[in-house]
Amino acid sequence: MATHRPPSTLATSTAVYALLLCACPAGYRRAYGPLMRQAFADLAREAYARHGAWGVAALWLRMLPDVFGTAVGEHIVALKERRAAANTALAPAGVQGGYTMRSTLSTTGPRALSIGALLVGVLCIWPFYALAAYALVWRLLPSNVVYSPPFSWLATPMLFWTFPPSLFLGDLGHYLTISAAGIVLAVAALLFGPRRRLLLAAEALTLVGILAFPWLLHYQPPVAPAPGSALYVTTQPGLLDGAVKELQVFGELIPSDYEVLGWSGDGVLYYREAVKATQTTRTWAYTPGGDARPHLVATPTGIVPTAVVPGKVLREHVRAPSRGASVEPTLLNSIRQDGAASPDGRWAAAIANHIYGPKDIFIVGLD
Amino acid sequence: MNHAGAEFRDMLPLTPAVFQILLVLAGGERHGYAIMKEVEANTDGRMQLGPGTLYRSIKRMLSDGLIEESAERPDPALDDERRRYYQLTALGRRVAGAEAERLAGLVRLAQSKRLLHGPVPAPTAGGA
Repeated sequence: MATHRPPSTLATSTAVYALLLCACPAGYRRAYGPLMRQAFADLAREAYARHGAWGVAALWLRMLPDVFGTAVGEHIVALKERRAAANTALAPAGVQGGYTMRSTLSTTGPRALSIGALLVGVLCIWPFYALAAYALVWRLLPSNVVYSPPFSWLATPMLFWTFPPSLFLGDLGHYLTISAAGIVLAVAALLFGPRRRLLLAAEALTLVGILAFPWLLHYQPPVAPAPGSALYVTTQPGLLDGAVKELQVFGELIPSDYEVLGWSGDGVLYYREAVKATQTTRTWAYTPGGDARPHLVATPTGIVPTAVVPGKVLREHVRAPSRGASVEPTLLNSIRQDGAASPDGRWAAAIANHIYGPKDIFIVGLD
Repeated sequence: MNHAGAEFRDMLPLTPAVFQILLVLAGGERHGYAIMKEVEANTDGRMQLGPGTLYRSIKRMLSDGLIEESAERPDPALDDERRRYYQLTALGRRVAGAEAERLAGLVRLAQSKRLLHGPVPAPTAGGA
């Protein structure tokens, strides 16, 4: 009888699910871990048969809260059971309760720290490093190789794993919270966690990974200057904001919409930003050619009518940044609107966007 | 109301997941994946149990004596022999009936307040 090998997506998913079950208390895991894993494998197989890899991705969105809710709930149950068992013993209640608490903290605490740090690493940090490593290999290999097994299937699970954390971390508040929690957990786990070499190495990797994250995910705008052209991206973020904006590229998030309002007679560009999360708008002013950063203004002043620069002309002065040797970038989707020329005709301002991601205001020299 | 009745009524109200699992097992023994799929079908997809929720509920139901593991194993040629099958206990059947009665009472109340239309479910004689 012919046997069918399960697709790598399913095998990887089931292996990762089995790894996540480590977050559950040992007793519960021994009793129900194999059954949960088998049920997950059945669900994943069905989701894959119906909707392919996207079906498995959708399944994961349901499974993550389910498995973590179970882990937290069962840890609480286990804690209550230990306390109840200790309170029924002969020792005075206060002494016994204190002993139980200390015993629980001394056994569960270090493991919880370690598990917490590793969860932050596995779910939020390491997938991006794996993707970066893959991109590096991608750049080194000829294109006819990267689209063939065994390389082509490597990208799918990695993109699949970077998409959900990008959705969550593509917000500065969430990003800072998770990073701070990860740093605290990793440091605490290194100091007080189990002294196992493999665990310590994984915790150290998580810590270094979090600290180096802004440099790994340096934001790359959708346009780069063509050779000999001057280009300013007024919305180019700083280090931390840059990591968040790059995550928005991965997560296909568009947190802000922009509108070029026009130029004043003295060469100041005004543009409006509509922030979707807060439903607010704000107006920015920027003067190209200087060192000054864009600054917020109450209202634009002195806007004068200027010429329209067709998108075709804009595209002659910029190029698309390459995200991999095999990717042929296109500007057609990055610059979809015409630009506004400055009064002296030296500059043109327009909006550029990642195909499914954040937008930027850029100013290009027309000389 | 006898003592046993008072005891199992203390278990009410059941969580939606536990009640749905009891409803599925009222139709016969099932393994975990079959329970998940049948709950999804019974609720028109509105309730999708994950493996975590399912087995946490099963653990609690086993310890409360509402269900038990079936001693019979399927034919390995027909099914995966690692699967565990669960079935209702007599207590589980009574508790499920009592919960259904409780819900029917709520429906009757809602209908008396003109919040629902349609025939009023008649209370069963003597309760669950």
